[in-house]
Amino acid sequence: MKEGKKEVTFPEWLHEHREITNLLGRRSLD
Amino acid sequence: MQIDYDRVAVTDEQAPLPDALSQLLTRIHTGLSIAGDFIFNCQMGRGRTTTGMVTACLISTTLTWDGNTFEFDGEEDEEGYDPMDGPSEEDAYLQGGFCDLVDFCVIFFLSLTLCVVGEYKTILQLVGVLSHGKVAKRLTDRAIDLMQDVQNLRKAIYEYVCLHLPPSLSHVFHFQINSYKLKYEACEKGLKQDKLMNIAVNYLFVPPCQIPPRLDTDMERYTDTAMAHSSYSPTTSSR
Repeated sequence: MKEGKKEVTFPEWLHEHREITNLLGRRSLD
Repeated sequence: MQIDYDRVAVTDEQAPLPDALSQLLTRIHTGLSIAGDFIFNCQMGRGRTTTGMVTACLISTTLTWDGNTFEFDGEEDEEGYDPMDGPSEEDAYLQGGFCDLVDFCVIFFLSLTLCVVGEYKTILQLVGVLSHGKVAKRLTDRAIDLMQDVQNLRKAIYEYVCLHLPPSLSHVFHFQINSYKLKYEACEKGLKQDKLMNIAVNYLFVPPCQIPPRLDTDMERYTDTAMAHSSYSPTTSSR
């Protein structure tokens, strides 16, 4: 981990990036 | 015998939920320096087992990285940067450091998603959205290949998709094949083209009966082109 940097959990980080959760939430290949 | 046991809840034939992945990450990250071995097992000892192994491989790779350029074994490393991939985000990324929890998580989640949907439209978009997408994908492919003695997750998913693909989605496979075809036709004839052909054929190779109808024509044309330029063997490549 980088020193002095607040550690962010993965679920927290994911929650703040809707563009990624939208892609990951797709249920088809299209 | 000293065993530090934990159970991670992952539904069969589904990608792990973020919390489960975070749990995996924490367990491996904290245990890497003291553990002799990591052992994974699921009901059948195949899919979720390999997913855990791939995850541990990725964490180990990134934690032991010395700050220099990653050395990838095999074709990709020797081929170097391919301008067909667009601007190289990889170089900028590798100069910017790698030791950050979020970086790890993004790579792991990308890796698990890759296991589910393969190298398809959604994954290509995901690689584009992530600032470290290209490196993450290369590391993931490498980890999957290293663990393929148990199961090659990429091939398993591809075969599963071929068997269950609705006709309305077959154009997604055209997209994938066409991207390989464009690369193949653009690169120089000879050794590099032979290597690319080996990658493509081994990656896409499935028995003809499993290929969706609209794919069949393209696959035949593609492999015919390959035969004209090289003698490939689907069983000899690392993929």
